[in-house]
Amino acid sequence: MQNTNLDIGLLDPSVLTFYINPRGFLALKKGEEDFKRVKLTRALPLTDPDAYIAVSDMSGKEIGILKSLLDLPEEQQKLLQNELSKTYYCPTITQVRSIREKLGYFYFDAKVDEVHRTFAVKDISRSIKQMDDSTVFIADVDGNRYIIRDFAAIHPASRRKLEPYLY
Amino acid sequence: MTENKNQFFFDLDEQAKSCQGTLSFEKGELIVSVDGEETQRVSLVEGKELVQQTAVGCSWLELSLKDPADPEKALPASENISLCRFTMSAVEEAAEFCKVVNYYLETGFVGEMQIERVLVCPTCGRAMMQGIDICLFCVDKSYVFRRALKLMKPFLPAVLVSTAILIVANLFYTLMPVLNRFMTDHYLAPTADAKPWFAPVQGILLMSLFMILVRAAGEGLYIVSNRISIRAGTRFSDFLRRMVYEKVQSLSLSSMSKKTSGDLMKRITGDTNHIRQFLIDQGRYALEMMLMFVVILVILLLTNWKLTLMVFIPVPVVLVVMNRYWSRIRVRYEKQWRRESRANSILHDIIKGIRVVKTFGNEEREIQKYSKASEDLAVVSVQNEQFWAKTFPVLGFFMGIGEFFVLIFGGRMVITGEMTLGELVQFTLFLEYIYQPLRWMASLPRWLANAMTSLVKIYEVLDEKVEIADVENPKPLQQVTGSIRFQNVNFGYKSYEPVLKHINLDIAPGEMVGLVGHSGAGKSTLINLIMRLYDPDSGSILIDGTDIKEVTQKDLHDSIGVVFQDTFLFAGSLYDNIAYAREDATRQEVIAAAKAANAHEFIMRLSDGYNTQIGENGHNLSGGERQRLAIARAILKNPKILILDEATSSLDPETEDKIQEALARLVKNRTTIAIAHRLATLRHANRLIVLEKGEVAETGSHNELMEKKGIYYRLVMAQRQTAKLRDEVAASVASSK
Repeated sequence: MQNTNLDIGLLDPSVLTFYINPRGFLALKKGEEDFKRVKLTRALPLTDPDAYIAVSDMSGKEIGILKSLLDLPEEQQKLLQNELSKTYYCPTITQVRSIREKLGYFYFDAKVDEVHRTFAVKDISRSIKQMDDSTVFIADVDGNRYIIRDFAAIHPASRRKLEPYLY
Repeated sequence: MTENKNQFFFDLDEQAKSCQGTLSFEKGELIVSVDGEETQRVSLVEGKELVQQTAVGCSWLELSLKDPADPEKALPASENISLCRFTMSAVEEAAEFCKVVNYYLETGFVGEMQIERVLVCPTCGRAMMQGIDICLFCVDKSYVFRRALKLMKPFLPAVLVSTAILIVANLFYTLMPVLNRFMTDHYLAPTADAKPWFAPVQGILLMSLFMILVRAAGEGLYIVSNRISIRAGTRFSDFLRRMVYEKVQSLSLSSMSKKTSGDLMKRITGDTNHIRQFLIDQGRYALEMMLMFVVILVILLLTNWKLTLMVFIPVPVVLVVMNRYWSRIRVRYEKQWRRESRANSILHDIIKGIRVVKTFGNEEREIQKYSKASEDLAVVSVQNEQFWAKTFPVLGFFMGIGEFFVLIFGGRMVITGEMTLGELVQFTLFLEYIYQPLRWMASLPRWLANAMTSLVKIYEVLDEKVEIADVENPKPLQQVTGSIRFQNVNFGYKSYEPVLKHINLDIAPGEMVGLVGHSGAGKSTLINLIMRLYDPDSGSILIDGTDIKEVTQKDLHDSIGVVFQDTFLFAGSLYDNIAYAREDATRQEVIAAAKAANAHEFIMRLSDGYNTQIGENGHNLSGGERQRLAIARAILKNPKILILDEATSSLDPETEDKIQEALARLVKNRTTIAIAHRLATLRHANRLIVLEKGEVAETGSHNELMEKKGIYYRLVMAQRQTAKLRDEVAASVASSK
């Protein structure tokens, strides 16, 4: 049976103004209230990164949830996207040159944001995730994350190298 | 110029783009430089704390400032000064940098960063992995098998004896073609210079008899060799299993939690078996095949070197193809291993959580989930088998193509008289013997791939660094009185995310202390540290004045008893589960413990009494009954220090009374640390310690804390309000009936 009580504290985008405070941190004016510094947290960072974004103060208390970034004016969207890109750092893999395995560690030689980089992945069943047919997430041993946004679109040679590790 | 050791290298700019930057701490200032140019200089005079903030895939440092009105406090986080950003590769070093700066801010003294800079492999220049002292990339390829041989060293004599017998057995078999030749050339189709010793019929009969005896001797030796190798193999796999299992037991909780139970089980059982198969069975065959290959090759060359060379024409081609496919085969088997491990994990989870599955009516969903994993595994297995089914016969065909050359050219030689019929018969029979090792070599990559995958998985476990290890010369911890001291303890499950900060506590012997606080305040972490499931990042914990790092974990755990919220019961009898606390407990002690824990009554109601068998997790017992068994275990153990972690939560009032009664007996004369969300259950505590965001916020008795009207007061009030509401709802439901 579907639950009808769906109050999750959605924010009314029309009363929100995000701005950068003098120290360079994201802040929010919500009607009369002024939150001098806020942080953004994605509820569905892998499957729906631009929807259901929680806004909280620095003590962790949730001010409310933004249903979709698209509900905000374009300039505000850019501001929030910029902030999110700084707190969810996930560079893009554009080419997989080689994957070599040594005693359970998988050494990736890849082009990440057009820069050549090598990193090691351990326990690949947990560290490599294919979310749908197109998006692939890879986490290295240090906890860095990498994304392939469209697996079908990368070069077939790269695809062939990574394919055995996806499931 | 001397190198500044208090320097941190960061790799992202303010916009989270790659850069090369340094954050230096010198002369009371923090200096930020990006790509060689100084971009920021901050004096620490107004600084309160250097804070590491962690997000997803990155982290950053910011300096909080002192509140001019009250220098003991920090200004709001909106006034912090942002310093630098970095990827997760630098978080450990950043945490160490923070420690040095914060030590300076607290004491005015300048320390030095203790972190070891990431070591770089001298051969390939790649960063070395933490906790592994060899470069996995440059390590010798044969390392995997050389190390495996070291593992099987104690079993090597048995394997060698078994192999030697096998070789002798094979030498008997190799006599057969020679005897065949003799029979053909002397009795069946005697050549001109044949000198038979007996009449043809008699000779054939005697030769056949001799061949039967030779064959029987070969088979007999084969059986003996097999028996020796099976015994050695079983002992080797038992040795491997126990070694991996012991290593798994010695790993810390954080290491264990990185692997699924299905994965660990597969390593302990499946992989050790694969290795045994390869090293003992295949290894023996490898030696046998190689030796036979050499012996028969010499015989063939001596019989007819031209024909022998024809046999070997296709071999190099096959070897090149095999080498080419090697890496592809490895990946295929790795994939199969992972799918199998995943299917096992799913199965293990479902069986463990069967109650949850059934109560939510999700059987169908779980069946589909497992079916999908099983199907995925089947698909890869079928693909791999098909790959072999296609490859192996083709390789075998090419390998054996030389046989046809032998028939063509050998036949011609017999007709032209260059060779006798007996020699050709012997040659073709020996061919079978030489093809056996060659064909075996064609299937070697498959065995090798399987064994290599399994060996690597086992090494992964064996090489895992034991984070919590006993010191070399431990101090004794006997006749503990039960005093516990926390000295400036700081801890985080990740070093850059502190969970407990500056904990200083003194707990007297026999004192009962209640730990109170919101969820996530650090209560369970604090007791995990006392039990040494983790080690503090800094500071120390002392029991009776001895640092718990200086005593053995066995001694420490012997003096601590724990009653958890969820009691894990092992498959076995109720008696065994209580006696689990102390192996040497007498029957009388076990029953006395059950009585003191108010468990005896319900146990005696069961038809099999203490012999009642319970399934995994004790499915046929209620929560209260399981809890009482846990208390009985703790009573039986008779520790000086007792930890009660939510021991009475989620129980009905009547059961709780019984358990409270049992607990009251249990805590007598013991140092007790109790965590309870329901604050009323801590009414017997001598002292309450309130934790807030990892720090001790308040301490005192119930009355003192209520008078203080701080965090504890608010928690009590909130609970009373909830209880009142619950009573009102219950009353209105009752009146409406």
